[in-house]
Amino acid sequence: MESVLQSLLEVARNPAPAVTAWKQGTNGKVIGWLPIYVPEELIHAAGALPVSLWGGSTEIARADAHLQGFACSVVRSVLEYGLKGTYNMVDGFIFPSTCDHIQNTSDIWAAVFPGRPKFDLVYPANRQSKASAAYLERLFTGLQEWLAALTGSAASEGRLRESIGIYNHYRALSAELAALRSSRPECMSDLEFSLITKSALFLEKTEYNRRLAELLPWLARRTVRPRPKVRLVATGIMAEPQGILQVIDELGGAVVADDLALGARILRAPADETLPPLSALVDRHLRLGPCSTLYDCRKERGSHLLGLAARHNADGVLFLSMKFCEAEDFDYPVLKAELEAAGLPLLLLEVEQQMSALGQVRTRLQAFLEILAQGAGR
Amino acid sequence: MTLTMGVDLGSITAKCVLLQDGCRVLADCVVKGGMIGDGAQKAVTEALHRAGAALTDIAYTVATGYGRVIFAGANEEMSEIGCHGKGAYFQEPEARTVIDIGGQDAKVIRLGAGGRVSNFAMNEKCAAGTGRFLEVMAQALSHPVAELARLGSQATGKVSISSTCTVFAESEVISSLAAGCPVADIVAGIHESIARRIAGLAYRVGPEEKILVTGGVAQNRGVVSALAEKLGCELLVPQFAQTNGALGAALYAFEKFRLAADHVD
Ligand code: SF4
Repeated sequence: MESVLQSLLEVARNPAPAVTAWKQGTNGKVIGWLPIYVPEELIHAAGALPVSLWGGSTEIARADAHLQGFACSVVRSVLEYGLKGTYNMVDGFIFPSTCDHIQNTSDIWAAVFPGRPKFDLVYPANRQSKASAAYLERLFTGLQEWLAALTGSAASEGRLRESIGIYNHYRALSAELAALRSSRPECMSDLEFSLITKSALFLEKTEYNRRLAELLPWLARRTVRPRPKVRLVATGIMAEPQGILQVIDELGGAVVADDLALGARILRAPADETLPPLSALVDRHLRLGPCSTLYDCRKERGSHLLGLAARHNADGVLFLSMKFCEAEDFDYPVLKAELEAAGLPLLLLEVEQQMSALGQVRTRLQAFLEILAQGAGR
Repeated sequence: MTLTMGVDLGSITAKCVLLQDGCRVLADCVVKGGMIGDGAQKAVTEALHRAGAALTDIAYTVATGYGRVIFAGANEEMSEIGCHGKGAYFQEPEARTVIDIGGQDAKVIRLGAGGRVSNFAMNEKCAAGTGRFLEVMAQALSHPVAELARLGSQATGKVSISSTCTVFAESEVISSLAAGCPVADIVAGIHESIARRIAGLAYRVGPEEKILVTGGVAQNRGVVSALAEKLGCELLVPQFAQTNGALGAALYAFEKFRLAADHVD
């Protein structure tokens, strides 16, 4: 079972071999998608492999010729990987209208890689209006047509239904994994959890589901670390660089629940399988959130975090602020006020995927955990 | 008699405090050479020498500061935030805020009941508003950093340094020199610039009196009074200003030792 775990960790650390192997084995198309929300089911049903492009720790050199230094590291590293040829096995790219950075990177992408298939998924900012569902249905139909042209085969309704079932199963298994880290955090390190979650973004989901289902009962009995002294909820775009998770681990803390985009946010809201398949995906998109990149007039992220902390018996919240991510930055003051009013401690850590010196981060985390440990009395 | 030791291994200096029974400072010393080199070893040797003690007399040692993880001679390591809070509360039980200005970082720590840290803010990864900033400016002015406070006190005006960035601020200083501005006025401007940065940091946690200023830069009266003016309140520089973190570590060491001893009993 250890080897199953290692295989997933390896995929997350170095996805290219797994993606290339899938492509060689199936002769299918690989579709890359940028953060945060893309109906992967449509790609899956078209017989293609959806792979997520959420940047990484690569050094930025070439991308700086096209993107300003104050763009977030996600888009900078995505462009860098593109320019370096890391995405050469990717046949098409989907750019959702998540934020200004991604929208503008999409235009730059078109200029830098003319002729490489690309689809702009322009979401409606308003999800409350009656027109939103109709608009989304047309948008997703457009994506289906683009995928059909690229793969040479249109997905039948039956195939889409099947893919939705597979993805719902994927979300259910992921929820089991998440429940496990809260009930028995000693069974896996924070880094392992994060890498398992990430590996899903590069694997065909039937295959991923099979491996995760095999792994779960084994993980439930495994012990790799002592009971954490401090339990944390992490929020933000992603828990990267991964060194941060290792520092938390070394200091005797554990992330027991998250509200990360590359984490719980994309795994929320199973699709309603009683609806016609395309409507189910539309309906799911309308129910997503709370998220800094989705308009939310009720501002529910604060109460969501408070609820998470209460349900998972967490001592504090870690706000991993991706440098230059405006969406997240705008949420922070509101969250800070709400959490402070509720007496839930919050630590803001500014992170970048390229960050290598973690000395300052360590000091902040250690001080925060020391404060929380006084209160937790574990 | 129980002897405990606190070692604060900073970026520029190493500090060591020897504490007797958790209440009496037997020796405190500051040695140049922080994380790099043998600063920590020298500080420990010097403190032991001053107290007339041997390493084997030490019951428990806590390390703090940037080099805390690489210092091998400690029983435990703790964050400098916690240690500064602890040291400040020991030196002034009415302290509610600690402003520590060290070699490469500045922190503002809020203390709650019993001297417990309730909140803190640290400067971002940038030398503005730290001891390093002063050093670079002193170099540009060709004066030793220890001279700055005296020079600044002779100022009749203030040359404004507007850049936050240390490198840009340095060129501002050089241009001011070239334009014939009096050195004393430039120094006053440098102090003002640090005070502005630190005050901004302090407002993030909401400073509450009494406020203690610690760290190497606390020795510079020019910075401290510029900061007091910015915050509009009195600032206290305690006796063990530069060794406050090491003192906190030694206090923690005493607590930890007692806790461990209780377990054995
Ligand atoms: S991190 Fe923020 S700014 Fe960057 S791509 Fe994601 S949502 Fe957009």
